[in-house]
Amino acid sequence: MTTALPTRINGGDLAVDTRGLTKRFGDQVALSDVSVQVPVGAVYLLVGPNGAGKSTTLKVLLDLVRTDQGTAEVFGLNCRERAPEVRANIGYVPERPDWGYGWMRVGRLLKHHALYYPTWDADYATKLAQKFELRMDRKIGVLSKGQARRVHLTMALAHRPPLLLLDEPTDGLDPLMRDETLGVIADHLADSPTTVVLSTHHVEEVERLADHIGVLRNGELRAQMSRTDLDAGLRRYRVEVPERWAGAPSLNGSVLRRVTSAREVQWTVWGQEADVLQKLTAAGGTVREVAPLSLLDATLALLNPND
Amino acid sequence: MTSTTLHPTPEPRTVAAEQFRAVGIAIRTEAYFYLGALLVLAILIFASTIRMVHMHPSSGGRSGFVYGAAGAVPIFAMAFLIPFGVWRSEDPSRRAYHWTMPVARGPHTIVKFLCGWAWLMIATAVYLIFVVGLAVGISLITGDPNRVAAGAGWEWILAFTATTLGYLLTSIPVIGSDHAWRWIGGLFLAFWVLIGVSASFGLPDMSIALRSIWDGSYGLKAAVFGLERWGGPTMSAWLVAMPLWIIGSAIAVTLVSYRHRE
Amino acid sequence: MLISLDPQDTRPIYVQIVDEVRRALVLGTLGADDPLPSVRDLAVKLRVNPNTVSQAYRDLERQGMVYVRRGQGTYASPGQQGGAERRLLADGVAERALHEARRNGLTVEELIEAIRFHDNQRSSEESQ
Repeated sequence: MTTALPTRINGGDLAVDTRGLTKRFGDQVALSDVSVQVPVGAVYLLVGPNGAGKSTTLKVLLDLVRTDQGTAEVFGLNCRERAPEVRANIGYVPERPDWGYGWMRVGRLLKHHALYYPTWDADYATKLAQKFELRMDRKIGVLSKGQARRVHLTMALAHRPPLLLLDEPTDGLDPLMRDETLGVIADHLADSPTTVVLSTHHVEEVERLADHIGVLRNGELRAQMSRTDLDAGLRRYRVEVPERWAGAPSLNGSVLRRVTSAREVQWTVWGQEADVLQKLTAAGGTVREVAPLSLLDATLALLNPND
Repeated sequence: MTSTTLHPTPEPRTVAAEQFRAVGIAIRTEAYFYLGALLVLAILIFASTIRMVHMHPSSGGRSGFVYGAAGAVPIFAMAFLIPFGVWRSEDPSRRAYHWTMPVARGPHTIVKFLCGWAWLMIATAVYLIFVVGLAVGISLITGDPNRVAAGAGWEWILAFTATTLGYLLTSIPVIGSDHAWRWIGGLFLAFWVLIGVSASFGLPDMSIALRSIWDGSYGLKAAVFGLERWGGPTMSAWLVAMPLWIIGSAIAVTLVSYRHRE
Repeated sequence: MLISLDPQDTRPIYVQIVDEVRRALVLGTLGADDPLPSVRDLAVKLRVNPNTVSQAYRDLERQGMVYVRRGQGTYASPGQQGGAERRLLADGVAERALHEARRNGLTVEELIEAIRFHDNQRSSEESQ
């Protein structure tokens, strides 16, 4: 019996609920039947290689991209039909650095942004600007990618939106600022009830913040689950095997990765630990080690199975 | 549906007021250039008048002017360029910030367009006041109030419609496409080519039709300056062509603004 | 009181926090009735989801290692340096050691012998 990877998160109120999103750009498939569920209050990590459809999914929520098929809802509001209301509840940090009126100075742009979001907290904005060391008198168009990113973070957080969409929030930042940013996000989460959907290549950084994960590849959602389920279901097994071992066909379909050396096989398997152990031992292997994976290794295994 | 308290969208009045201020900042460069040009013009005219007065004390030389429809040319040229300032670095493919705001996109684009237009009307009024100032200055320098004269009243109102029309026409490609200059250039080129084709290959009807777009009774020349094929500006020509062009281009601007409900 | 997390540790974060607090309690670096850092402060310091910290604190409260003073925060329970707590710590250390042993193909006896040997060697080094 194969254990398929879970692709649905069930139960509870959903901050983001997309159903069967499909989008083509010309003959390139950007999204293919993507159904994402982000529970309210979750910190949801969207992972995948470049071009997997992460940014596109976020843009669908903002109605910047219209899909060929499928619907998307944020807090129960349809993203296309009620786009302004949806956007009023989202703090967005885009992937592109040239977001915001390039000819406007940072300080003025913040004021401009504040008027569009009635819940803007001016004191918090000042605090964030200080933390991020923003240069208020510079035009945002001349800032480096990292400096612009910090302005965008301030713009997204200061009105305390119920939903944060962060597309590579630490991209272009030096290590010190990256760490600072994560602290700001943790602080923000403690203060305001917020749902976060973030996509990043630096999976290790957000390992401690994320409690849900969605894996996108080639526009398809290959797996989606809570961290608890991921921790419980994904294990690395180091197994000593006799010569001319026939393998463990009963595991077929659940194995994500297999690394073989002379008399040892290292399996990354999705499934109940007890069940997998039983199958491995029944097939003649001696299990030496069972270990959970770091989020980064888990992501790599889910993205790039080689079995 | 959920227990989350949802945040409201901003008040339309707040948005409009802020867009007005923001557009004002956006066209600041154009504004400085424009005021600078007016200053230079004033200096030149006054210097020339003073020189004339010195050389021919009795007659005051040939200084002075009559303000008419043609006086709208400088400000019309300005109006033609303003949309590029209003939408600076915001071609449709990079307009994400404008479009991520928590307001409906079509109306938001129209609001920005109208704010640019409001600033343009202010600039036109400033221009006309400047013209009056020139007139007063020249009269004072030459000591002869009859040096300057105002054309008919409608020719002053024409300044506002000419600028509005110039602004509307340029706004269509600027709002609608990533390469406004290509569209404008392409249009001129196509027009010119068609004129040449119709002339060379004996298509008089097409030739007439094309020319009338420019100087027919419903042509652009009449709409902007009240000019028909021959003769000076007339109010009737202006009243016939101007509303047509303004309404037509206003519809086009609305269409391109709502096209990007993407 | 310093809580830090080992980046190499792949156990769930809340488990790691609980263990760190337990260690501090047994060692005495967190004394009776000493305040623990607030959920928010610890979350920011560790760059961790505040919900995870809350979960850890709830777990600690359930196990009786800490108590909550309403409106004031979380405090260490007295009497946490006793034998029961030390045994729990030892359990954790032993489990990790056995895990390593199994990974290296060693038997329990081999492990115990090695431990005794190293302990003897260290004692004799220290007494010199």
